Amino acid sequence: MGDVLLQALTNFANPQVLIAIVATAFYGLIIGAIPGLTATLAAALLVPFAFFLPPLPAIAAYATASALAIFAGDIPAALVRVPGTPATAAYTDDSYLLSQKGKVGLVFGVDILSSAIGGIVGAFALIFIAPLLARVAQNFTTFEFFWFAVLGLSTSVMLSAASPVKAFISLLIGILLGTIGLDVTLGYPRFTFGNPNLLGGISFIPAMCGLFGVAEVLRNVVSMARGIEYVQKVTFTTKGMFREAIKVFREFKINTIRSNIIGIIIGALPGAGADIAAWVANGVAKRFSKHPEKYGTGYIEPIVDAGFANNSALAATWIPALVFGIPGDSITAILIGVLMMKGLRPGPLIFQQQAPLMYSIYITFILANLLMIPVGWMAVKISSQLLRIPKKILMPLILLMCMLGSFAINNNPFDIGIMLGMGLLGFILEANGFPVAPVVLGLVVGPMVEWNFMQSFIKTQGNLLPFVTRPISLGMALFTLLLWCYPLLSRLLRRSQKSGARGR
Amino acid sequence: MVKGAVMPPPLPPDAMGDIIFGVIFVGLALGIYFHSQTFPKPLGQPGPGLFPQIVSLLLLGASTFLVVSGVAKRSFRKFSWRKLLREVFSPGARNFLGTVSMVLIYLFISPHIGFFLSAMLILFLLMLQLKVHPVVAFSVAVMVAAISRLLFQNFLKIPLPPGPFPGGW
Amino acid sequence: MHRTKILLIVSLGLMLFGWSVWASYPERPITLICPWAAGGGTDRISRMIAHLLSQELGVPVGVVNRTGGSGVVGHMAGARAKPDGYTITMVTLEIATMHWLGLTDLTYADFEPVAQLNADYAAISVSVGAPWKTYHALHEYIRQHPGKLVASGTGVGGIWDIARAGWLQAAGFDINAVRWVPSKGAAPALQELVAGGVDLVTCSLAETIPLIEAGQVRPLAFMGEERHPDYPCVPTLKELGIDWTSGTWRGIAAPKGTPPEVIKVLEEALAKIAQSEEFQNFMKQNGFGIQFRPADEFKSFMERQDRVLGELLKALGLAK
Repeated sequence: MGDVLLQALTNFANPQVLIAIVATAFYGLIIGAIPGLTATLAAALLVPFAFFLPPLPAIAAYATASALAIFAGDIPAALVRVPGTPATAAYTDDSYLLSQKGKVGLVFGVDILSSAIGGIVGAFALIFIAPLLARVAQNFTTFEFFWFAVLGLSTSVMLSAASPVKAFISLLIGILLGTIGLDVTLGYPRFTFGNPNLLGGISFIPAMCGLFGVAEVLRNVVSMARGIEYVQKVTFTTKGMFREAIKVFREFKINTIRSNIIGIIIGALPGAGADIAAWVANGVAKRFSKHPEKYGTGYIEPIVDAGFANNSALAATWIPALVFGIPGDSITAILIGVLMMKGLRPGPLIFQQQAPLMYSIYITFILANLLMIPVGWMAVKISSQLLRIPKKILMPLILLMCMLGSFAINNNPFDIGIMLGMGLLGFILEANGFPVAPVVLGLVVGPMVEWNFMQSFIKTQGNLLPFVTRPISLGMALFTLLLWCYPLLSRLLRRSQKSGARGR
Repeated sequence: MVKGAVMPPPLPPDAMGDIIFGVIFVGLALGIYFHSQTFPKPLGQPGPGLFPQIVSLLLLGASTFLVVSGVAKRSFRKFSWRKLLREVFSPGARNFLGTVSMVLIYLFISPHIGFFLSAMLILFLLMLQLKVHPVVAFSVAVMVAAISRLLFQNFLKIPLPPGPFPGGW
Repeated sequence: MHRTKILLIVSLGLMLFGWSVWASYPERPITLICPWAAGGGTDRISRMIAHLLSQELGVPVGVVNRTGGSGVVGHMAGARAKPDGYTITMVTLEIATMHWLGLTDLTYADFEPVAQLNADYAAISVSVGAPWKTYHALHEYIRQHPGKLVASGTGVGGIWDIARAGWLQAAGFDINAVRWVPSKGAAPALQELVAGGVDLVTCSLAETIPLIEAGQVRPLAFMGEERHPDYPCVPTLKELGIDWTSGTWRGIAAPKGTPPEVIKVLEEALAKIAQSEEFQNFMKQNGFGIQFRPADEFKSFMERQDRVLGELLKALGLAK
């Protein structure tokens, strides 16, 4: 191992590698920090460049850009309420409201540090337990993935600050939007109205740009006309932001450990990825929180949990990608392409045949996450200047960026139309007390529920027993049930103790 | 400018909104349910209709609950046509429609005159609508459209709609 | 006399016009439409071809991913582009199935074929823990227990589903003697195979290589014309007496109506590329098979595929 490590380290003496890391750190950061442009887009747009780079710089560039872009997605989420990934959507409201309360420094301190630490923890998981985790994940079939998807979906209702009924309705609308396109069992086009653009369903990027970005723009232009600027000039200080963040981590010690573990486990499952990890980590955290009622109203705890889970999952999604060539999300799907492009076929043999390269990737991960601290600090300093731009100029710019971001992912102008439709939907829903984050989750995870259910059904010819008889499946089902019933149980418990304070 | 407001102030509890939306969603759920029943049903398989049907039934239940609980609350705001009209013709609604139509205008004109001109145009018009000084609006529009075009087309190689100027601007 | 003069002028004008169109082709950047997402197999081949084409032709060739709609959107954009040779498309086998599935009216006939570049054949693979060590054992099992096993590899009506159906038909079984479990691509299907969720996977041999090397998956038969160069120990179905080959393929095509001179330029350039060492190394590294067919052969190949795949889709009850 020592030899290999040394060999790997000498790789970094190559200036090309270091330049690639630093350059793509800035690239990922810029793309991620622009509201409307997302981490997936940053990853996809890197492919043509990776094509012309030698293997190590290409992979290092990809790892760095995706890590930084996912972190940077937290910035527009906090400043203008436009999240960059479905994972960020889990805590967008909290970070936005906190920053509106003038606590931008705290939010970004927690964002940066939790992302960096989560990423490094994930990298160590990749180094030491990748083969083990991969072997465990191999026992997962559609029955287990079904429960995972259900668990992910149900957290969105639990996490909502709005009325649970309305959050549930939002979720169902998201799931229904997710059924648009070719169906899994027959390839039958559902709700496409004969439009070929809808055959593949609604892509989540234009949907997110619309539901959050465009809806936010619409809200702002309407309130502007009333002479009210809802978004205040935020007093921004980075002074002591890391110190404050560390204080928060001390307060939520258990959260930090738990969310890292949740992130690694869920990230390592092929097909689950960082999105579900962040939502589940938050769902679990709320259930054990001392202040579940504060969730969704500008509370720091969800940012801590989701921040850690999000980034540790990101590194963990590389495990099934590297070990078996099975991607966990759209970003690792592109990663596999980049590896293959460089003649590296993912598989267990890659660890033996390409050991120095693998170690170089791990080192890159750790470097990228360390780099996140200073570069992220700079980025939040610069991008919080965004708020100095008057709203009447900023809003048209955000609109244009959302249009570009929606278009660029498929190079299809139709997606701009989707974005607009989703923007109107998001505006109307929010104005009437329906949260929009569950719509995004429903759109992304809803199809997974259907896929896994239908595949299970077809496999067993209608025998649904394995959903509760397979050991892992049963465990997942019970866990989901427990998470659902926890408030009820704890209320019963508390009532029996005759304490006055009520949970939700 | 009212200081201190963080988010749009929550509307006073108005059960009417819940009822209206509940009814809309009930209609939507029924529509989807019956439309899904027309999907093909293969032998020995639940088929493409099953999942939308389950979800729409859940939606039906949840929105019925919303309607019923809204009726039970009985806290309705007084409704006046004049207020509604004022709302519809308010500057806020104009801004709203202005923003929406900018996206539509872009979709309509960008295939013909290209990204640069159409992006510039919609930025300029939208900023005018939002009462930005015309000179500021124009210069910001030109600058942002040019930078976006450079960044996306030339650097990130995204095929934006080409325009009439040399080099596809 | 007057009339012939006009005719002469018109034809001369047309010739000049036509000449100016193609004589200097290509004189500006070419766009290569890839109907699938960045990083995927088709995207990688497209980028390599674009890179080599621009070396060969001396103009930049840019890849544009027009994704969405299960490939329909990109193919349609490619077919509807101006037929001047400056927009070409990496067509994939879906062009031969999607109109049968009722997704679009677009067919291979809307394109002017230039050259086929790649073909990846399917393999019948099982988990190493499975009781069947040879194809014969599997065959026998299916004969005795029709309808008991399940296979996966892609969505319903996708190429690996068709590969399964064609194999079963050619082997004299009922078309559902091995039932199909749809999946979202080969990777999740392989996960299911290893986890014991399905019994067989019929995706391309190239896609299963990581798991074969990991000792988790065993290929029993190959659906190519000849044995796979990297796995010469895996017999082909043809050798086993089952007349069936099936796989995915990719090639370059231009919109219908592109001048033949332009097609010629592209075809010659691609023929040279297919021979080049850089291309061959790239394809080998990525696990792609090279299958070069010039324009006329590619055209008749697409016609044949369209018919064969259409018949199978009808037999599967999927054709509209």
